[in-house]
Amino acid sequence: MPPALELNGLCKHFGGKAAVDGLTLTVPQGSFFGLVGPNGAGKTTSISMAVGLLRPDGGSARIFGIDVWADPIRSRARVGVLPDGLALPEQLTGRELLTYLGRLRGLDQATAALRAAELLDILDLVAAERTLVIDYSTGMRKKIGLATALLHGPRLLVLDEPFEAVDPVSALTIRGMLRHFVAGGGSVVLSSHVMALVEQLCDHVAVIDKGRVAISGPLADIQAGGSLEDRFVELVGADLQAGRAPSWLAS
Amino acid sequence: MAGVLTTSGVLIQMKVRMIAHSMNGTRASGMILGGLAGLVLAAGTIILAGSGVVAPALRADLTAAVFAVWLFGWLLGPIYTGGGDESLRPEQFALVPWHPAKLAIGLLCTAFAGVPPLISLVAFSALAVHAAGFGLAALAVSIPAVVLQLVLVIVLSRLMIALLGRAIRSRASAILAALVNSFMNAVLNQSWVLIWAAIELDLLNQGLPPAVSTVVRALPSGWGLVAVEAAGRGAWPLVAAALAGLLVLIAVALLGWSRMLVRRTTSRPLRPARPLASPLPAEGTVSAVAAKELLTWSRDLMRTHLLYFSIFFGVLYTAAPLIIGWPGMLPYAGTLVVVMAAATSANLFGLDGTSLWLSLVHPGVERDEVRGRQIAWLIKVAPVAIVLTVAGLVLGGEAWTWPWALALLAATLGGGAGLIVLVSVYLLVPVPEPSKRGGNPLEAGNIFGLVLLMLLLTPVTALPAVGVAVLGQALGLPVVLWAAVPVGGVTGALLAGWFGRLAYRRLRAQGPELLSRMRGGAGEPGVRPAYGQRVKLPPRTNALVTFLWIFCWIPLFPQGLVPLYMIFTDSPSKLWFLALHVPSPYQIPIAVAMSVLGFAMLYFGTVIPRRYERLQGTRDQASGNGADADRGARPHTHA
Repeated sequence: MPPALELNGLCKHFGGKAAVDGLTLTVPQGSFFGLVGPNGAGKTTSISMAVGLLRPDGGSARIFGIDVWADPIRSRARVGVLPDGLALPEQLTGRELLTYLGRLRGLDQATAALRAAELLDILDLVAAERTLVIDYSTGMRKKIGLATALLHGPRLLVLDEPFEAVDPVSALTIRGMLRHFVAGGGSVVLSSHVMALVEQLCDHVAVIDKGRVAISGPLADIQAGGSLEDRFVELVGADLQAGRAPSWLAS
Repeated sequence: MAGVLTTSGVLIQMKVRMIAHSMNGTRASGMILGGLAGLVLAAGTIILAGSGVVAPALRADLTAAVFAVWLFGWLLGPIYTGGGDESLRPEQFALVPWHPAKLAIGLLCTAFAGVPPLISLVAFSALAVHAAGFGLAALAVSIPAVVLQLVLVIVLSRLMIALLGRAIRSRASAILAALVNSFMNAVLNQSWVLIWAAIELDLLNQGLPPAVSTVVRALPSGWGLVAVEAAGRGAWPLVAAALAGLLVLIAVALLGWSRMLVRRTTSRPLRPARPLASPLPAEGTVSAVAAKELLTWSRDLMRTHLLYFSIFFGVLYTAAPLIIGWPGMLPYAGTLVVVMAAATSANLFGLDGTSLWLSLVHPGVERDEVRGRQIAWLIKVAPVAIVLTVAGLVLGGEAWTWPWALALLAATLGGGAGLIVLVSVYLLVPVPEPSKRGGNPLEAGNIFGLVLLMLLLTPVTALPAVGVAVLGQALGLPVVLWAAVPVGGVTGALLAGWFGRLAYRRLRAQGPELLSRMRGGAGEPGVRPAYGQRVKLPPRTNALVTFLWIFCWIPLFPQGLVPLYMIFTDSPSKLWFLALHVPSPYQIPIAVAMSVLGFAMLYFGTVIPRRYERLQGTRDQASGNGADADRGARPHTHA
């Protein structure tokens, strides 16, 4: 059984600076995989390269054993993606957008409409029926983005910061959906800054720092008896300055 | 006051740093070329005002008229360069506790840091040159007048951008702004009608009609001149009035602008409630894309503005010669609408921002994405263009113009539909993300170059049809002449198909690179376009290519194809077309040679950079492997 996602020696340079530097990672099928790392560690860049949005300078990415860059069509049919901070066709309503994307994915009119309706209902976007995507709030954008990733029934979800700016109720719904998806044999890769959330949701974790995987494995192994936050700080926060604050703020 | 000065100083430093960071070879050469062109114009203004090139009776009037043109240039320029220079945006300072006037003055000061204000200063110094003829007092008055005039054009330019941006927040006002915008453009572009009228009336020796000279002095751009002339006559109250007028106008404009800034930073564009989702058509992914595009064309204010601008421009441009009683351009209104719509749509993919990622994660939809966009564009443009062409033919066309107009229309519709997708994937201009735009449709990115390129390329797609029509006209065979219409239709269809295919192949092969380019433009932190679409040419080659691209149009169009057309239509006027000034046996060869020269320049201008790009590509691959080896080695050394 090939891994759901397999990254091997991925490299990416921006203007001479290495954003991702030989990143190697294996996401087993059926796992709920969390990517954590400090700002600028290369999480978004790695995810972009893993799903075909950014061409790597070196290395390879495979989805269920299919090379993302050699066979884009077959590999991308199996993955649903939620990128961070990219635009959507902004002048459509949520329902129009989902129906449209369903049709692009080759669904027929009825199926596309049905799935769109169900997703809008689950994600609590029906009330915004008459709102164009351009007028959505940040949280709503995340939700509609998640809906686009789920629409075609992929076996792997790659989600960049899926819970950022999402309200607590919606976050609970989304968590429930993702757990259900994994219980049914699906695989999820998500990146997040929130350690508690990753600890609650994920069964596997990779800590990314300076464009590489600092440590990767089952959650319990990484935690090693402590909390994920402790391990994270230990791994990446060599010069942690938790007690410091600007001198003029206290006076 | 000191606070304002410090603020302005900081803002100017910020701007200079930003320009320095964004500078690259292309931008630098663009800046230098633009600066040189501007300097030539400025020198022309000085010569006009200060030397005996024109009769003294006319000199002052003409100088005032030229100042008016500079003013219009400042008002219109920003529209073509994507909303003007907004390297520092007011939104970025929304949270800083400054009085709006302080922010306005600060931002205004940054507007002076740049090449165009310097050039305008040189041009406006023509006023001092002019004043020298009126004695010392006039010269003294001219110095504040020059400064005030410069401040005025810049602040008016800023106000204009703000007003247009503010106005275009609903569909109706986007259309209205398009009307105003296209009217001013048509006037500028059709100024030859005025020149024609001037020649007819022998104005160069007679002087301008009193009405005109009154108008050019009454415009704010003429007040400086009025002050100088009044000082020469010793009419001091008028001097004071003119200068005070400038000052007051500057103050009012500044006040208006600072109010606009407050509104801009505290409000979002309003969009009316939408009707419930309309179902997409039943079958096929192409029609799904087309339906999405049609919705976007009618809902996106920027696209609405661009489309209506094209329609109004086509109508007004071809209607302008009615002033001198000539309806002969009316049949080509539809074609002009198509050409202009193609030009303003040339950044089709860029306008949608990074939503391109959806095509990248959806396997194999690139073809449908391109075809759907082409179909939607045709559905939006073709009906209007056809109606305008037929109406123009009925109103202003003679019998022989029917096949011409219809052939041109058919050819450019297809050619335009092909070019928009081709150019927008090959020469994508990054535009701020739709959700991050301040509602200003002028923020369409710096598409001036694209528009210009498209205005030249789209007519070229009609060449086969024109060739057949010319042949038919020359042979006097109506059948051949009419054959130009189906020929136009066929070449149009072929080009739309072929260019579309090139576009989706490019999209398929280079999708991630296009996305990177857009993200670079969207100001994503840390993500810069990693793949230079343009390779750096050696300076000399770069200069050569730039020269070829700038000057190839002269032999190609005005000295080549246009005289050829005039020879075939037995036009009596010769203007500045070299071929028409030589004896008849040499006319055609010279015009043909000019066209060939133009084409050759265009060809080499295109081929030389391509060749370097290929060379660079192979070199990169070689060095890329080397870099990989380095990277492979590094972890070991660290460990």
